[in-house]
Amino acid sequence: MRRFAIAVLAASALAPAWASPLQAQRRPMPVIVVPPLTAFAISDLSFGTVLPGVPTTVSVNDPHHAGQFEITGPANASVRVDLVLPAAMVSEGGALMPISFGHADGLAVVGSHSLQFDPHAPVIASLGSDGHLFIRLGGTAQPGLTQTGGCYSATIALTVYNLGS
Amino acid sequence: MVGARFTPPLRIAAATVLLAVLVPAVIEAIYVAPTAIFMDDRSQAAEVTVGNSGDTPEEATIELRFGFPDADSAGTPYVRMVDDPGPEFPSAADWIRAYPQRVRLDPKTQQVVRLLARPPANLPDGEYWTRLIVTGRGASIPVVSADTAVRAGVNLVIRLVASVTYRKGKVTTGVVVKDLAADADGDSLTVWAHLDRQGNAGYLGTADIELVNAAGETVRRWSTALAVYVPMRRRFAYPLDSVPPGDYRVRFRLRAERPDLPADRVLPAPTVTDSVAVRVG
Repeated sequence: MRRFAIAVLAASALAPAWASPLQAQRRPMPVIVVPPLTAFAISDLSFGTVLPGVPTTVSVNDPHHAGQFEITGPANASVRVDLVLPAAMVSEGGALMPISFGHADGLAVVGSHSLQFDPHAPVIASLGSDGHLFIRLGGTAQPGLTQTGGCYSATIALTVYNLGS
Repeated sequence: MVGARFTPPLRIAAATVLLAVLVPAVIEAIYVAPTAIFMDDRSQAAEVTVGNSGDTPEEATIELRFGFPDADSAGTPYVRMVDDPGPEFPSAADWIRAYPQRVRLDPKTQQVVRLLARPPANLPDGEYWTRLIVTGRGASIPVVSADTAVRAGVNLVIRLVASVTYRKGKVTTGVVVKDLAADADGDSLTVWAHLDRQGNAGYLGTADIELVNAAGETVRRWSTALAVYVPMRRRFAYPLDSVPPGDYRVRFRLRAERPDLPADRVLPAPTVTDSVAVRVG
């Protein structure tokens, strides 16, 4: 339903003036409906409750805790996805907790193909015939022995470049 | 000796460090359409739709910066951004403006952004480029700890980078392929091609790569949208899956066809083909 709504929105934005029903009777021409370039954050990368001094790793294959993003666009569109990852999470009081991402903490899925990657490196992909790319993200939180209690958070930046134009 | 520093209740609290999240626990999404915007000296305006298909409000900014597709020394494609492009670069970043440059997008809403060009009076014929960068910053989402107290907020920043092309007068393009090479390593096929752009405009086309066996049968075929703005040595990588070991040829074809772009915006150019041998296994 969400994708249908986006497609309708995109179609309304892209349809040229002569695509109106009145004009179409006189001048039937094809209307190109191209999906927009969209980035979704589907689920969070969540470490839940961790213990001081005990590193906690979320596997990229963990369906409940790994971060999941979806990139959609025109079929076979060539895109580059860059992730800017934090080195630490911060509590409200300013306390830091290191976080790390290993060479296999990224997973890119296009159609039936998947590839593990280092999330510090970019993902270069064609969106495939269905115009979809899924990215999953794992990582490791490294609380210190004297880690202060509370909620810690950080920001990641996901950039999607259209390489095809 | 952690326990020496805390009273029992605090020790419990310290042992329960509640880690929040890196991404809000709700869907966040922004989109931009079209992903390739074309303007010319007859219609110096264009419209772009920016939308929020997520469930939370988004604050989005729209900016224009000069950049173009390129490839690094390993052949990996990227968009080369140049902050202060000199006269050697065909930049339109200084004279195309976006209105508005900041929008608030409620869930399931969209906003039309207008691009207006004010090119210099003596602008030579040719093609000029910039990139449209839409940055979505989700509104702060409260994160609730185990005791239900609101403790913190987190943000995810999403950037979508689209192309903006301004054409003036006569523009032509083409591409030349040189030094085609291929290598099958493990379960991947890697193809390298040196791509030289011709004419005074970017080449927009499709790269078709076929793996052909000794009997002349095409056993795999991949297609990728391709843009060539500057000379580059580009690498293409594809999974070989269960391709049987043996000797093959890689057929490489570039055609100026793009189903995702308006046909009248794709400049005509001759189809270019080349091939090279590769051994699998």
